[in-house]
Amino acid sequence: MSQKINVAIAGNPNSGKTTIFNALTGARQHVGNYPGVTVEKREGTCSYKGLNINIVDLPGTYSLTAYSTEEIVARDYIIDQHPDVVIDIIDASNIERNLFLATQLMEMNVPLVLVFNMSDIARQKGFVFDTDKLSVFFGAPIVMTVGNRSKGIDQLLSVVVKTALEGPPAVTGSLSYGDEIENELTKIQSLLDVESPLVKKYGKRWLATKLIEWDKEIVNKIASEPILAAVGSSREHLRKIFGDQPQILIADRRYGYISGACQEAVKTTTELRHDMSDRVDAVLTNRVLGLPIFICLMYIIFQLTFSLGKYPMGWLENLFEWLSVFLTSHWPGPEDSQLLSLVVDGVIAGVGGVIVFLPNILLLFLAISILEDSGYMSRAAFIMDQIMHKIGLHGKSFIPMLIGFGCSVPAIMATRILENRRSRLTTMMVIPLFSCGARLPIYALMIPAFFEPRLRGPMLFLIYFIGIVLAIVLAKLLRNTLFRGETMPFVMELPPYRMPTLRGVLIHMWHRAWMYIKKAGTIILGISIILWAATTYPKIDETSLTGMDAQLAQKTQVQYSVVGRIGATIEPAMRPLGFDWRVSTALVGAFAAKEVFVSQLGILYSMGEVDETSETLREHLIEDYTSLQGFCIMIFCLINMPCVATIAMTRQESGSWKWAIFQGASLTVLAYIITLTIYQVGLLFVS
Amino acid sequence: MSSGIDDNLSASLEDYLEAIYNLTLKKNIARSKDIAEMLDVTRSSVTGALRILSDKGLVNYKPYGLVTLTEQGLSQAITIAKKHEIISSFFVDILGVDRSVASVAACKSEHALGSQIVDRLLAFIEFVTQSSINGNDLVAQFKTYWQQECGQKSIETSYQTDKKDEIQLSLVRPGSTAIFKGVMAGEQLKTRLASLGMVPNAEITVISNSLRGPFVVSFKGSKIALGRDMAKKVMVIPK
Repeated sequence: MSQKINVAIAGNPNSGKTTIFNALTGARQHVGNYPGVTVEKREGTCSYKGLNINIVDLPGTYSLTAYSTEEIVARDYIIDQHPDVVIDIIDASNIERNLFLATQLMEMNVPLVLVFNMSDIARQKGFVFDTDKLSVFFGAPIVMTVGNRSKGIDQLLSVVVKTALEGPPAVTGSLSYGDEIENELTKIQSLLDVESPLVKKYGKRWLATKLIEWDKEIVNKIASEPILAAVGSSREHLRKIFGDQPQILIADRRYGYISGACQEAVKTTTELRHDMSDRVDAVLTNRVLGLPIFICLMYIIFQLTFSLGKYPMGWLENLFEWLSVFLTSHWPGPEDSQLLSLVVDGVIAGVGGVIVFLPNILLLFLAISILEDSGYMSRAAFIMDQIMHKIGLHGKSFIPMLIGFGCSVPAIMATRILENRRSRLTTMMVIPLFSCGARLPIYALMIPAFFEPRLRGPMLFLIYFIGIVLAIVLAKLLRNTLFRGETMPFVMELPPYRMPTLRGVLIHMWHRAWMYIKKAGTIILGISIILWAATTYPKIDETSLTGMDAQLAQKTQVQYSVVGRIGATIEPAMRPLGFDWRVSTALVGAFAAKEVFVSQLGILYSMGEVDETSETLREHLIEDYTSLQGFCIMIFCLINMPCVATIAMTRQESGSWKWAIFQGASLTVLAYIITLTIYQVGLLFVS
Repeated sequence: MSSGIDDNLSASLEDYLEAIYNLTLKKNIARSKDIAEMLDVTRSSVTGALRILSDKGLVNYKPYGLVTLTEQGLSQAITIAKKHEIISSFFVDILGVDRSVASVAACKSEHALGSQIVDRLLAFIEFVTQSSINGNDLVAQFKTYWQQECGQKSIETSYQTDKKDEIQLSLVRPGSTAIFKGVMAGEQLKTRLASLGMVPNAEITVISNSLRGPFVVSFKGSKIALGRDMAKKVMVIPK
């Protein structure tokens, strides 16, 4: 007889919500999305005394208004799913603000358990809680925990189970908004009887409160004119008396209730004016030092990501290579089997190409998780806001841009941290201009071929620099045209610095990496197969290949395939840019993944498999192209439409093909115009 | 308007007071060199003006160039700053003029308009706001009229200036505490700030206030970074 209990965890951002969730569920958790929105939904299970407990970690919110998608998601989940218990995680060292959410949960009439987390820090700060009294005020049992040391978790489980089975203790204290507001609430409640389904779902009082607050989500659900009119006149009445918006009045009363309760039940023994965080902030967010420190940190992260990532990346490359060789040599069927080619050239090459970046991505996400969990990330956003604001973006936009230097796919995923949709779309559109790791092999092939050693370093820097400048210009342009609108005003909590826990950081990192792997296994796999087919079919007639060596045959086959034909078709259009049919065809192939450009070029020079270090390929390139053409190829690869995985990710994260196509098309047009200009102007100087 | 305004203080002297006030807020001290730079005048005229202000008991002027406001001087400087705020609020919130245009115009007219006129202007703003609360939204009617007649852009949300000692949060010095009064911002943002604990009469302590870039305050036990634009929209009474 196993019974299931559904539990939802609510709480402010930075209250240690996720730590408690991790402590409760351990590794038995998975991440998904709430339907229709790109808000992460973390779910997990645990068992306690033979009971199965299902736990959902709701997004962290300060309130349950309709301010952000997160708030709406959290609220709807509680209302629609009727969890048996809602746990509200409260940062015990900052209870007044944290209890604000509790007052709202209280009004939703859900079985509530309050968790005073980080109770060790609260004790250090000199807070003494009378939990019995507080528990009466908020109508919920209170459990003290220290999440990062898993203290109090057993007690929490037993209280949760007890609450689920027996129901919460009776509420004796009640939150009253004062006569004036209460009168208006009663008036509205008396009108509500008629609309039974809504009332059944939300409860009369909650509904009336939300209407007085003019909560857009709820107001839109009310069809009855007379009710809306009554709400309107109530609101005006209150505004007239108090000279402030009713929603502000209500927030004020809630805070009043909390501060009253705290006066009775919380004692402060010592007064700590400047804590450690203040002292650290004095340095890290210093007006002069803040930016240099930030830049140094980012530099170190990048250095570590790429220097440490190099080794496992090499192992993965070897593994996939070995796998290809193994499959080819042990293949039971004929050697020119189509299925073998599909597996080796399509699946392994395509998916493997994305998976080899996994070490880099894990390391990058590890660093980002540490920065986030320690509280530095919000400081970094604060430091960058001044600069980002100038191009119309939020301070937080720099995080996805930074990741973009590694790989555009996780970078586009990371734009989720931006609340404003317009900023988010703008950031997504320009991310491919932050030259990703897969484009590096192209530069590594081209630069040594066309430029003398002393120019090589500066040339690579120039390419990256052009990308950044274009991204800034494009972002500014988009914000002034397509994604016009006010920049979200910067309001962000600077949480106290905390030592990140190993477990939390690892779980955090793994979730993100897992999403990346899933992407590689689904969309990227599918598209790799399509592109493999496009380079393989239609098959050229065997007889026309007779007398050719293997490499020439391979080249002829590529020319005959769909990709080769597209390359030949677009060649006249690419000629003004200085590109011939080989480059055009390789560019079409590079749509699968940017680094494919190098291997395709190798095939088209009938050299079989090559990589970016191939000297013979460089000799061919020097013979056929000028350094101006070489430079133009790199510029085009930099700006040109991103790889198919990026486009697919943009489609998913923006919720529409429209933006994915727009991204691909506009970047291609931009690349064309810029390369055309450089080539044609360059020709004037060369000749 | 509060008492203590000296109508005899000439326009340029008011500018000096305002400049000293702003410099003190930004750098904690005002030097005659900085005042001269800010107002684009020679240092000898600064010295002359400071002597007059010192005679009036508005500034403490020491020969080596450090200037501070006396209590009386500070209250007058705040009055001038408030006057600026009222005039520009009339231009922006009632007439619907662009904020930047209004700010320049307010700078010029704050000297020309005596406290009598500014008091009436304040009363008028209150009157119009009050009547919109009573269902007769004059601002909206004027907006429609203006749009129909001239096809202009809509005006920003109205703001009522009914408390007299309010100043922008951005003017509060680091380390000082102020009482929150209201935000001149959209509903959404107001609600957001309220849920973070910025409710009327909450105490806000300014932690850092550098010249540009965001602004760190602490209230209800948490540290919040605000954009500079936001800090300008939050109205407080210094403690």
